[in-house]
Amino acid sequence: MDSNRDTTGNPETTAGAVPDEHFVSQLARHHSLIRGFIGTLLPHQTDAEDVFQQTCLVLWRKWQTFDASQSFASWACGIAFYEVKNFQRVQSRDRHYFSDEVLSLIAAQQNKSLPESEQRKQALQDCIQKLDHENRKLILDCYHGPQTIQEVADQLGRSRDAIYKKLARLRLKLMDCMQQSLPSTEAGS
Amino acid sequence: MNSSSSSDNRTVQLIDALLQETISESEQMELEQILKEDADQRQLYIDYLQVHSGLASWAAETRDADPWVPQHVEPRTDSQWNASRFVLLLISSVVAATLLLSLSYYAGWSIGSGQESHIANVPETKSSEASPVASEPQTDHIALLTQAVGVEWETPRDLQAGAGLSAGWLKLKSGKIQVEMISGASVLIEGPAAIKLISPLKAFCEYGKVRASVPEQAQGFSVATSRLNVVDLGTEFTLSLDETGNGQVQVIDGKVELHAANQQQSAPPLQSLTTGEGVNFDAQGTLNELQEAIRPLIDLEELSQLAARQQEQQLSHWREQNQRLKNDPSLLAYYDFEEPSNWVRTLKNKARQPLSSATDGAIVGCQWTSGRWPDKQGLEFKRTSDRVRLQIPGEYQSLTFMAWVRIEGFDRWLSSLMLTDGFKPGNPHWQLSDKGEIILGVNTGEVKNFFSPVVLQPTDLGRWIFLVTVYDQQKREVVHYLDGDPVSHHKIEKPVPLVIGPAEIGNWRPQNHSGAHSIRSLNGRLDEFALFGRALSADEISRLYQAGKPGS
Repeated sequence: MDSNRDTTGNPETTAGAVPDEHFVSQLARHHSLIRGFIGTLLPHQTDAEDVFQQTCLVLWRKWQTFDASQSFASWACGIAFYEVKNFQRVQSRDRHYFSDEVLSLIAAQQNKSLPESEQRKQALQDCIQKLDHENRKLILDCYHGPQTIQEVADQLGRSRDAIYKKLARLRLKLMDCMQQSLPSTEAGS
Repeated sequence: MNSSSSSDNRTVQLIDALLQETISESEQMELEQILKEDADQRQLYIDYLQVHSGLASWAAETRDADPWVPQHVEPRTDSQWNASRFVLLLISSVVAATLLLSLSYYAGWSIGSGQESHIANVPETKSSEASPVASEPQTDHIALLTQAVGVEWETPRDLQAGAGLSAGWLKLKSGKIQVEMISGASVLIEGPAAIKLISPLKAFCEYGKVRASVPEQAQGFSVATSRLNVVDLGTEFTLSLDETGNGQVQVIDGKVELHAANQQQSAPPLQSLTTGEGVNFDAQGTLNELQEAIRPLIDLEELSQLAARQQEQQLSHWREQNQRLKNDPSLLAYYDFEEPSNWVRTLKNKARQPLSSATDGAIVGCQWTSGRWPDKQGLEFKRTSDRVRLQIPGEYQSLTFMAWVRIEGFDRWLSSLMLTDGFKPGNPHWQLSDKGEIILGVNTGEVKNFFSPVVLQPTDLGRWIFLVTVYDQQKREVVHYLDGDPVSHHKIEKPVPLVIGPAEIGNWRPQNHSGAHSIRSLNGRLDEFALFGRALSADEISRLYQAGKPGS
């Protein structure tokens, strides 16, 4: 991609695609999968959100290079992976990030299970609905709300640490719930 | 199915520490090691993080129905509806981004249309016609950052005065900023603070100190907190809120209404306050009248004085560095744009031992203007004829290009930083694409272009940025830097010595007027430019940035 044979030194253009209906419907179908894929590589929500936005733009720009015989999900995740790496290179200052090696391992392992991601998303939704109201509200407040975890804790008269522990338990519970509801694919891994 | 997925599992503990940002260096290494070696633990990590990120999406979709977020539709809770609404939002944001990128005449920022031979002459791109809502230009900026003094941002990327702001968080650990909303409301914020801009008439304050001046045009501007909405009916109030949710509101001039956070603005207010009046409130929402006036927050005049003082300090800091830099024996050309008067048409090469007098730059067309600071000179490149001509003799194994530049708009696909006349073997072309990529092109017999990723965003237009590109033959790599940080590394497959000869800053003279992309003039300002006959290290570049950056 870096070079071409134009002797006037004109870099080759890769842009020019217009998001057509097909693109929009593909993106709409797969957005949560792509967002989830990025989320496993970048644990911090704000980072993941930034990279997700950027990835959507890049996907659109590169849409013309998409080969329709390919899977959109794996094409998109491949591009998302490079966006994550770029992001880390540019921003790695005050947060801990994984090395490229570990990132590649995580991405590769995830790629194998991309086809089931739709079921997993549905399973998670179902499991969240099984939680009681109080726990659902806690997740809402902690994951997306105007308050800090400290504020949530104060309101409930608990310590911040207790809230973090509670969230960790809820995540494990949801993970177990999901695994029970999904057909076991590869036992033991 | 995974018996190891309990909370006393070490991997889970480490992941939790990672999510809480309390993970230590050694724990991070431990987690890395586990994930590297054990595929089962890696699967556990993936499953756990997928739950985490799934919860974040679920919460975002559900919570977007909060009362302080402007709503077009009635909030509902069933997940089917939420999912489709999220998709709509997503699509509209992609479409909005499309517009932002494609409407070049509006934002000064365009995409390459892919129709190579016409770009230079056709100002608008055609892509907008195809998207359904593309009938009018859009920008997502709802405010402008007009001052920033002594700011330490909590976000990874520094914002500087001049930057356009979209809806979203402004988080500062310390310092003071002024934000002008496009509605006309002007807001001073003192850190530590976390403020979310929601719309031109609405902001949310998690904590921090805010002083809002609201002219008649922006009446109704409101600052929400988790407890109270403060609605300004003209003209000025202060709000200060600590991290526990306790705070104060005081009216400096005019009238404000306090509403409960969960109420619509049309509901009757909890209380109205007029000039001089104020209240204390706490996390439970209890309101108490202020017995004595609190110290008003900083005002605009003080902030401007602080900003001027800071600018003086930064400028003198830069001048010290500038003196040191001139002594670098590897400098081929160094223009600091500090000339004795504004009628001078020669840009003096300030390197201690210039190679020849031809390395002085001849100014063609450009106007003198101010640079990074009001007291620093700079040159404005505006017309397609504007340029600085120079000639650099010799052949170099490695080169470093460095420039402080303020891009006003990407008028065409390629914008010149420094290009050799024509493009003969060994010639380098240093330029920017309208997508925001930094490009070093080298003629190695064939054409090799080293593209950075898209690093410049529409918010970077109008602010001073520091660009460096290193061609390092010893390490066989090209590295692009933005604001002192490396943004991309590229391997040099076929190293050739670089030759410059006759060249131009801010423009290009094609050897035989081929037509395609023959206009590459820069739209912007330059106030420092250097060319080194060696590869500068990342440390050196970071130091140059620190000493030269214009703000805080």
